[in-house]
Amino acid sequence: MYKEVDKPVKVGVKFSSGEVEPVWFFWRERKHEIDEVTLYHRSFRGEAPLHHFSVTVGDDVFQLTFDGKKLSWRLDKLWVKGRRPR
Amino acid sequence: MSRTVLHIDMDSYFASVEQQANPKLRGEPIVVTGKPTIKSVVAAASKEAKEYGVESAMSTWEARKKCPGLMLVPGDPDKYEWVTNKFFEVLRSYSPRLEPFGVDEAYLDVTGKLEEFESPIELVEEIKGDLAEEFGDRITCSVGIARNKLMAKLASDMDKPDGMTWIGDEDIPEVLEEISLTDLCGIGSRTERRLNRLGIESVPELGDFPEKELKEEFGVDGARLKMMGQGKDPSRVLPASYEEEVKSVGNSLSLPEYKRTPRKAIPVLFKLAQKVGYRLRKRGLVAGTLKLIVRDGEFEVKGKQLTPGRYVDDGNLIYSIALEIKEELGFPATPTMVGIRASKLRPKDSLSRPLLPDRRKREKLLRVMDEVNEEYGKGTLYFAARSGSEDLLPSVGEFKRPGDLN
Repeated sequence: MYKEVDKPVKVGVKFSSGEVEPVWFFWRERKHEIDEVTLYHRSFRGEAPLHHFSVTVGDDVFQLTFDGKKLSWRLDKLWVKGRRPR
Repeated sequence: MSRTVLHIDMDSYFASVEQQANPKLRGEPIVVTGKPTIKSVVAAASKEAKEYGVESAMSTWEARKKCPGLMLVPGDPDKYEWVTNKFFEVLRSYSPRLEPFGVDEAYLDVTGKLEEFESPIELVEEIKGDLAEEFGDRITCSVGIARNKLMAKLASDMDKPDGMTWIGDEDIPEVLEEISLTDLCGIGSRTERRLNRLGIESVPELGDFPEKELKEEFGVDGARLKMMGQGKDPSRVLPASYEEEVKSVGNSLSLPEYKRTPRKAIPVLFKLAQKVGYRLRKRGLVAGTLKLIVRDGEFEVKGKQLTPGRYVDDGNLIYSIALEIKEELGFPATPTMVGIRASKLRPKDSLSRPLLPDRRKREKLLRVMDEVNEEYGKGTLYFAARSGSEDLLPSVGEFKRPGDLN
């Protein structure tokens, strides 16, 4: 299941061919190197474009969001192993 | 040149998008739901969940009974809306003749594009490659190729997931022998029962049935039904132009099964009116003409417009006018889509300020509501009269036309 985090994070990005892609982020005093951006999508909150990146770090899955109006990054959520229903 | 139509259908759509975003969900039986509670309804099931008999529209309680290890993933409408828009964008790069059919299906007339390819199969393979490059290899589609929309739609269902089926003219008689009446898009169980009462049990029997008798039972639709029985469909692939006109603002919604009655569709109209009003206000525009568009159970679209004699940008007023149009237009017994389009637009600041204090108050109220919703998210403040449509905003299964991002 996804666990909401919604915390500001520092993110390192690379620019290539007009696209931006996160490569690492700092969270809980640790640098997390991103292995893969599995999906990108965009939404809006009011007029602010929000750029969402689903990423993997080792075995973990996160969603990072860049607010195009505030020019800030947040860690939205992470996937935690949930108990399977019986 | 004879026509070639593709029907492209994304496989297990919402579930595939979630599996693409999250590798932990790949290979797992998952369902996308509105809320991850036992009372929720399955919006989409992954192919792994489908193997257990889990289907869309099933309650999650029933789904878990069929598949005890099932994982419930809360839906993310923004994500699906983005992917849908990209999906249509990729298809449009091959032909402007794109007709979206729900959030995850579309018809594409590729007649003019075929000369660049050795065969339609090569073209479809390239489209599939483009989609994989855009989204990743977990989001796949099944494609039907045929001379018309009816047969293309039928073909896309024949090889799932990630399949491709080409029904050539010579294959049509054999295909029609093998399918049942309800396999044809536009024949539901109710129409099937009416056909059965006429003694028609199979598709070839429908094709052979006297047109006059079909017309006596179904009116003008009788001729269309006979053609369906012969695998014919003269309808064109129609781009959703009423949504794309620069000089108009419109919103439409394909209704989920449980909303397909006139009574239940009315709150949806209210919601659409609010949305059109908001979009007009955001652009500083007012509309002089409004159009109501409805699609019936047989997927026929009709519309009527009204010029009320004053310019509007207030959702409640737009709703009242839409209801007025509805009275004149009539409403189908089984509405499958409703839409409102505002046109004859002009800048609001070209009008004089309202003199009546009530109107000025109303404008202020709308402005404050818009500000709150922009700051704290869509739907934070809304009119209580929207009651009955709140489950549609935001909803996993909401139908949105491409470009309708705001």
